[in-house]
Amino acid sequence: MSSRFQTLMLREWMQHKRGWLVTLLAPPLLFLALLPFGTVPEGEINGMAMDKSLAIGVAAVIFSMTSMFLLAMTSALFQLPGLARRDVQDRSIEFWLSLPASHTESIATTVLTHLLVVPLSIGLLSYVLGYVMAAAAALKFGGVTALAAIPWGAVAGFSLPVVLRLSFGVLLAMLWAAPLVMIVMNASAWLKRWGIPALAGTTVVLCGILPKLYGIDLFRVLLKEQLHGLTHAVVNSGAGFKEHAHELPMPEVAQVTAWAWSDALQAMQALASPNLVGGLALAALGFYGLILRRRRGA
Amino acid sequence: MNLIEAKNLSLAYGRKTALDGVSFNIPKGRVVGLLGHNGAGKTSLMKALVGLLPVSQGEVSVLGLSPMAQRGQLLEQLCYIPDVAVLPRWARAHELITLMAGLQPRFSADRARALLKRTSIGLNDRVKSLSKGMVVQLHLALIAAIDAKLMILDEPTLGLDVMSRKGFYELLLDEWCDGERSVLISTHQVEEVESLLSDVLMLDEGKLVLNISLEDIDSRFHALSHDAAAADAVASAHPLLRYRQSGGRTAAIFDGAPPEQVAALGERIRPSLVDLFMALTRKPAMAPTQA
Repeated sequence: MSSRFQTLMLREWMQHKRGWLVTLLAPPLLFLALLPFGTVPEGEINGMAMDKSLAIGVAAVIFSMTSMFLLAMTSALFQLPGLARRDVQDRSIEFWLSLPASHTESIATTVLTHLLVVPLSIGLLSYVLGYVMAAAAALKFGGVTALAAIPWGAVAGFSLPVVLRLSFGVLLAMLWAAPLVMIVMNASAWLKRWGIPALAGTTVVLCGILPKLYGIDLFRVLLKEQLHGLTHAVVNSGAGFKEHAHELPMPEVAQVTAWAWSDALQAMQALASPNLVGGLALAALGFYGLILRRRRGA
Repeated sequence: MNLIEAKNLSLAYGRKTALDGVSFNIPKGRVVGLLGHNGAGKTSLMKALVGLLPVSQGEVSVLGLSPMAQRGQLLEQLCYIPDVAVLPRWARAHELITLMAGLQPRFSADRARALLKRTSIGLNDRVKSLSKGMVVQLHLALIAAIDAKLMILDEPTLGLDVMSRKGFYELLLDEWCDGERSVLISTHQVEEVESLLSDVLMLDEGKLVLNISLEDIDSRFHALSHDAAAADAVASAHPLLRYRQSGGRTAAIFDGAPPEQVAALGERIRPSLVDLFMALTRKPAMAPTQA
């Protein structure tokens, strides 16, 4: 990674670290603060009869990781329109343009940092924090005995394949999301505060009114396919895993690993799609649109 | 070698011409003032010089590079302050030093810290907590820490009070101008920069109306201070500008020596840059000082 790219990422950290740290730390701290007043549900996870201690551990780490990742991703998506206009709005664009960083480097760093690096980092750090939450929940549930009973190696064995699958899925999901992300950013960059309302209106017309009034279903189908690809990139299918899981008293680590591997392969196979290729071409066009806008910002 | 070479440079925004056939060179060791009214084309020229605006015609070379084609390489080798108060408001001074060190290969963080010690700005101060004058000083300290041969400043003191402007120019003179490096500075505060400059470029509606060193101004332009009784005779010699001086006398500026009989009617004085600026860029409808 070039030093300029690293510096631009450092700039993102300097500007947004407070928000990211709040996103990362507030939910687990809240969880830990409220834990003494709450109850931990006993029983099964998703119908799987697992050892209670193991279940608490696995549930805590996976839930922590996925929920925090979703939170970080949602927060990044809400920030997207603002990111497209951030430097123009605070007039610092003139300063950034006076430095020897290209438009491509600057825009790519912002997009990658906010939509990939930070959500993934928050997700993975939350996975680690999940162990703390699992330990706290075990303490609450059964005291020191329950804490000591948690098989941490098994928890890691069960959860790591899932975490790796989800992380890889996020990378793939970004490919599917790229055209949508670029459309939102361009709308905001070019149309300023009217960008998002205009985009919402256009979406309603193209995907709601056109199919109903004129039977033109193209845009709705394309959007649906893109969203389908996006969600299935993260978890393509849990069906096979669940079927086998019900057959056994408790799923085995090898089985979870096999599911994660095959699910990832299926998600990769889904990349061979004209929708994805077309979407990436649109995203490239959108990226160029942002470069043009940044140039004009001078 | 000239640090900047511009030849027949033209630039337009749609149908509006911002620069029209501008040609000039800036060698090393010069402090060049770029003067012009609002909309004269100063900012457009500066942006064209740093590759932020494409020229529609002509050739431009800055430090031997083409600004548009080699923008990144060029920005590594020059210092550029585009405008006042453009530093990101969220940043602290030390963060900006870190960022500059990562983005600008010729930047010296130690020198920036040393320059900041000359000001009242702390390394931990956030830009948004600084006054406008302090922000400009911080910006100058950051870019003066770049080991470059050329500095381009676009109205760096616009909107600053007199103390802040003084502090800015002191820092610029003491810490950057060493006889080898050149500065191109655009400003409205003509009187304040006059003592600083070695050369002047004057733009009027996109055209370069004057390109001269300050030493040559005295030999080329003649200002004649005269009594009111000689006004008609002086006016008949078609001076560039006639204006009232303090004390009730009138003066006239000529491009070249006035006729001997006219010169005998008054006393030759040194034309100030402001008067010359008015003489070369004023419009007939906006001449309140005309006698």
